[in-house]
Amino acid sequence: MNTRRNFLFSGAAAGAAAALTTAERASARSIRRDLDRASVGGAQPRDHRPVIVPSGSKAPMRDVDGAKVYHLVVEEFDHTFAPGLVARCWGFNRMVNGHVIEAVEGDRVRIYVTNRLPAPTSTHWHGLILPNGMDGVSGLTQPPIPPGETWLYEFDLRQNGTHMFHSHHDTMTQEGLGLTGMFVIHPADAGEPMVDRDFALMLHEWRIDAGARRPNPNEMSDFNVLTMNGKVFPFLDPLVVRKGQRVRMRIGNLSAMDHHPIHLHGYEFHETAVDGCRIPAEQQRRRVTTLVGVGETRDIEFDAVNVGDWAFHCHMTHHVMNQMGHAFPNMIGFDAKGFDSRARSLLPGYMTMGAKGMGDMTDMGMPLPENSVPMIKAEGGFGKDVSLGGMAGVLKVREGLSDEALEANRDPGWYEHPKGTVAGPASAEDRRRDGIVE
Amino acid sequence: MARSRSLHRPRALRSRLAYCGSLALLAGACAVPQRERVLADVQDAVHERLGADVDIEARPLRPEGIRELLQDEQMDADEAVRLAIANNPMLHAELAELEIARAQIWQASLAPNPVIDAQLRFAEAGGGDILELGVAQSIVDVLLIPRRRQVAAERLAQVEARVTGAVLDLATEVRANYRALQADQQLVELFEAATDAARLTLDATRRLREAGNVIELELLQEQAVFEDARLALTEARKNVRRHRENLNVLFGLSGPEGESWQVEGRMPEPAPLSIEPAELERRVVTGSLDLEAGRRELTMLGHRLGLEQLSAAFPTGGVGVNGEREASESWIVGGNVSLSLPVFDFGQAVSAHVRAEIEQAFHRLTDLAIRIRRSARDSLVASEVSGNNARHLFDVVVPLRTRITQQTQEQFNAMQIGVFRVVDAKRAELDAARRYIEELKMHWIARSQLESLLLGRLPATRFGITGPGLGSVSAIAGAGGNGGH
Repeated sequence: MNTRRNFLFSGAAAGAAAALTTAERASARSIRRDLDRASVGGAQPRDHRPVIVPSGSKAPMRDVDGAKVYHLVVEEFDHTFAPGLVARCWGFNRMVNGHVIEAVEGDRVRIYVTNRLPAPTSTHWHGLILPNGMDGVSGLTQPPIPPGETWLYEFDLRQNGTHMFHSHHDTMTQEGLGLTGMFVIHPADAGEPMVDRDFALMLHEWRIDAGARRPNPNEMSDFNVLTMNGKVFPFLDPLVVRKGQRVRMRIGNLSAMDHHPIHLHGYEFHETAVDGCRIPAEQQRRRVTTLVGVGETRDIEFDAVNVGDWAFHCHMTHHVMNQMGHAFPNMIGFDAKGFDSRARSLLPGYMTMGAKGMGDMTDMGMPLPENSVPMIKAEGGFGKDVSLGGMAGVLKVREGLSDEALEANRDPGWYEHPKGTVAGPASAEDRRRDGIVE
Repeated sequence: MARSRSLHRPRALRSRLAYCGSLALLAGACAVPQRERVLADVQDAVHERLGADVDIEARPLRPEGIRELLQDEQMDADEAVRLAIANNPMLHAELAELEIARAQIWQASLAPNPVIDAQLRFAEAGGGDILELGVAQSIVDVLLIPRRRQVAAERLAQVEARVTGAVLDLATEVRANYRALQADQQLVELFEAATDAARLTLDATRRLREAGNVIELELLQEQAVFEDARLALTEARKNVRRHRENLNVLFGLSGPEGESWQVEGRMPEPAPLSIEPAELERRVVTGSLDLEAGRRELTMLGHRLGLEQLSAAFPTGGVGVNGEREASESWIVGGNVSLSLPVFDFGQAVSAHVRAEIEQAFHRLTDLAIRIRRSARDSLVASEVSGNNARHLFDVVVPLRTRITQQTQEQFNAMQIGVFRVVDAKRAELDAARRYIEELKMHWIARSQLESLLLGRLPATRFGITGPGLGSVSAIAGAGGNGGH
């Protein structure tokens, strides 16, 4: 069983390893080597499960004289949203969104922030109760951190729960380029019900034109890349769970403009915390969708009793598309008979699309803009027919998963459905029996 | 041939009129230039300037000759020039001017005929009747024959220069119209593609309208775009027709022959003349047939001045013999001399008139030289600018637009934009190609004007064709109409 004793490095590295690019792995190794040189000590471990960051990573920590020391390097780098979609982003420790500081209530934390951006910055600890001068609002509670300098934030963690951190200098630009992360504080006592699987997911929205190589932070309304931990579907690591385990999903939203109703298939869950504040058990509501507002965190919990591959996603339909082109005309119902051959005489390779919906947008072998991904059509257990993209993921609940598989959050593959439990064509006998006339 | 015979018949008569012949010899008369010699002179001048062998025939081609020239599937620009020179009726009308000028020399060489005077008087009161006979010859006209020949010879030289210029003008107009036709044929291809593009978006909009996805306004707008494209195509086809007809006029063709020829499909790449403006001006001025004609006009006027002065001062004057015989008596023979006396009109008014004409011709000559220099500079600039623009469009802009179309189509493939934007990109690509063709066309027209100037002719539409810009160098080059010099 994983405990807090071993999550600090091994759990973080293992959980994130599958999703990290080579560059990201190299950077993580460098930071880890740096911190390994110091002794790890501090508070004695309590029975908390380490948080798992699908496709993300956790900030390395070392214990120095009773204080937990973290080092966040703020810089520009190429981030991979999906294979084929890479953009110049700004992030913490070479991660956008999906970087987590994990600590325990009561800890003294010292967080070094090194600014390698071309612009000044600051870091705000979103939701934390701390001295005013540590709040990280540039110009208000501190001067901005100049490029090239390392500044120190130091404070005690007086609360627990799911919180966030982000730039608070030129926020629109710097958050828009990716400077957000999650701050998970485990409670000091074990009063909170234990969970077996504790996942952290940070929501974000971007504008990256198909073919562009940098997000446009000036966008206010027409976002076309929607991510969880900086990845679009289907490239977010699955949430791997053994049947019967208690699961928590910590969901934070630092999107620029949109709240996101996150819907989980196959389960009713309890909304157990909002903005890091635990909701008393008697007030927790059973839901299938939780609306995560901008600047808000929500924790949901459930018992993983239903095996299978369960989707979870933002229920705003445009948010489950990848690089949706909103300038595309409404082609539904377009009768293309005889049209394409004529069009090809003028535009070689032309093919009418969208006449039956955006499901046409798949890998048809037609030349696409560089650095772009199909809107939908991911691979699933039934071929390339998963009509999802963007802000979506898969919860994979299986029986008999090993501890090692769980620790590595290793994808168990597509669910193999028991015979007779998958929808299929209705037989004539079925239709006759039930009086169905086609 | 009839004309030829009529020109020879008087020679026999001359041998019979001894005294007239002697007077003509006295006046220094000499033979009229042979028709073949005059044609050869023109042909040599054309060959020297055009640098190509052309046959200048006195008569247009027969149908079999035309068919022989048109036997190739396509004719190049040089072949087109040869056909026009061989068969253009207006050019043959110009060639007839040579015969007129030759006849004028002949006429100037002839002495006036003597006048015979006879009187018979009858006596009523007896006595014999009186018979008087006299022969008079104007001596003034005979004395003026050398000057009249001189004036007529200058006129023949002028006509030779003019006919040479007409051949060169014809060559220039043929080349300019040939390039314009090539350009317009290429433009028709582009306008056909643009019309296909408009038809495609109209069709797409109709289908979307049938699906209930767009409002009628969008359909009407696409219909309007299509109708504009169709009209533009019609206009482009009309231009092709116009330039074919221009060339048919220049070729002297009508009927089936006028439909049987084709020009080469594509204009050549730009080929600017590498010549310094100052050197160009020097060459066009020194080689100008127009200026040479102007100088000859001045010389002729100088000769006319003397002639007119003498004619005015001594309008009449002659010598004669007469005889009288009364009844059966013998003849009384005598002579007479008459001469007008320049007492009041000694040619001063006529002299002033001709001098004014000389001054007028001088100023016109000066103006012509200025215009030739300006035209040379304009044509050089127009040729260079249009050539450079055409090359830039071909090397940079058209490939750029092609890439834009490709990438727009990729955006369409990614469903970022609709087919309308892709067709818009295609239209912009076609428009870039159109600009290339038009710049290339302007380059070649300016180039033909330059060549015309270097051949010695100021570009003009001499053959009555609404041409592709001849004589409008400034408009092509974008310069003002009152350009300096």
